[in-house]
Amino acid sequence: MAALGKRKAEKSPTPSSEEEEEEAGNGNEVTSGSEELDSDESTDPEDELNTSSDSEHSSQPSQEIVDVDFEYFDPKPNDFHGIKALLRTYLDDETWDISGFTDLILAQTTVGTVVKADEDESPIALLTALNIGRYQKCSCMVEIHKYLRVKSAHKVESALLEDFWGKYAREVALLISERLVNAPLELAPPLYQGLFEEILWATEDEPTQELRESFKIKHYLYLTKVFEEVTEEKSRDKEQRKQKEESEATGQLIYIKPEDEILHELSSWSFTFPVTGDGAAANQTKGLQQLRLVMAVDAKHEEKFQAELKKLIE
Amino acid sequence: MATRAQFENSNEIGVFSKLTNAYCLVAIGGSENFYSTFEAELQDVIPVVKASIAGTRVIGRMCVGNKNGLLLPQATTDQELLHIRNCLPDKVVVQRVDERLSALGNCIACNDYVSLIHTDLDRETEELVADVLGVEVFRQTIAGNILVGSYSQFTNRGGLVHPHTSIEDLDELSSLLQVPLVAGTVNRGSEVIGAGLVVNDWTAFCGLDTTATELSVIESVFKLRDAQPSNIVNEMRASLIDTMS
Repeated sequence: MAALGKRKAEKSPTPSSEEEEEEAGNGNEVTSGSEELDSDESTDPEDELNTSSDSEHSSQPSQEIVDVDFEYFDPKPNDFHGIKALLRTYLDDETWDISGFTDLILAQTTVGTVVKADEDESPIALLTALNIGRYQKCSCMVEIHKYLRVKSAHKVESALLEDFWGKYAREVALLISERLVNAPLELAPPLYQGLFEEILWATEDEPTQELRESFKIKHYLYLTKVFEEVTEEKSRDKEQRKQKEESEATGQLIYIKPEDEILHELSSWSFTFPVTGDGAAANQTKGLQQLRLVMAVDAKHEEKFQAELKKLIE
Repeated sequence: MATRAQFENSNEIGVFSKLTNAYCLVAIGGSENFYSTFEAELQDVIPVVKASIAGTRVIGRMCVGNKNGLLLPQATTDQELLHIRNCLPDKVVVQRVDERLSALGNCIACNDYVSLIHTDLDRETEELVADVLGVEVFRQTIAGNILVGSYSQFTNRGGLVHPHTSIEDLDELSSLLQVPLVAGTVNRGSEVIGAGLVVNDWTAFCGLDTTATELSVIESVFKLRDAQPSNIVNEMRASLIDTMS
């Protein structure tokens, strides 16, 4: 069983932590075959992570340069509270079963990654994909569906959304990507690479045919946070007030996670809606309105996305 | 009987409510669900009062009280003070305390007879605690933490403390407080007992994440399984020896 288990490359830029990683890796069901993967992968992130920490602080030479090592792990039961904290604003201020949702993510050990500064620390970033057809009946998924349905009520995309939860449910995965606000951009490429690889391996390695099928994903459904510039002229001008509603879709969007912009460009369809709750009021005054963006991305664009993402980093 | 509850997606019940043997304070603004969970258990026995302290909803951490009295921080507005005073039973003395460490719920833990306080609390505050709450006061730490109110929760029948409390500390605290103590967690491994749990002599409320194991530990250490409200509220504490049950 272990031979068919996960092959995860865990990034370890410094030689000393690499030893710990090997030991920790064995505990995490990493097979001996992964050593090759480790040596292949460790050169790139070594450069990436070391230069990133330098470049972050090189603009202020008087300040100390702090090296931070980020490590990638499978989600473990210990991460429950950390992951729950990252998902706290997933559906804004709705009361819903966040604990159940976190449990689903933790239970899916084959696909999903958590980024931490150290094994015992809280997660900094989370990336996973949950097949909608597989988890449809769970109460948290029902609540997510209801929330999205309400928010997309008068939009064109509402019918497309319903299909994703209806007839195409088995081919669609809910992409969950949450991270702390100032997490470095360089975390993203290995995260996504890991995700797509894990999904591919799952289609081969899962014990039952049904599970293998559930990872043959054709579309990703992604809910994320964005900002929109609200210029004063637009809000003051009464004539343009009707236009303002249209401008939410065509207005200048500012993406909190840079890879969201690439995903949005590659998406088949998307829509935005204003956010309710604490964040909304605070950001309104700065000329930025916080929105939620829902988009559907075809799985065919995986490679193109990764290529674009790589270009963005460089 | 221990009940699970949630305040607006947060499992930190002890932050948004305060429960004693004579009254219960609940924060405003949560859904009616939260309020009605308390009402269902406490309806005819003790008053359940909606309140705010200093305009905030974190009332559980700002105030401390027992059946004899309630201490509020200096930042409590006159209106809030008046509202609370009106709604609580007359024999409960409500007092505002001028104390630098204003989160009284984090600094002081008490039952109807004994209290533990933060090591840096003012002498005047310590005297007020002794007078208003009618308790014996001890300056203590719990598992090396000075925020005794955050990391412990105890009643007249038992207590739950920070999971990393050593056996020696447990014994020492238990003999000071004269109640059985257990080191444990609430809300699926959270060490902040005071935030995750509110308890009195016959009932307890904890966050939705609390596991069945944690809940059974709570019910057993606080002796909630066969407790009746009328028995406990009217009972006089005759001796220092714990009952055999």
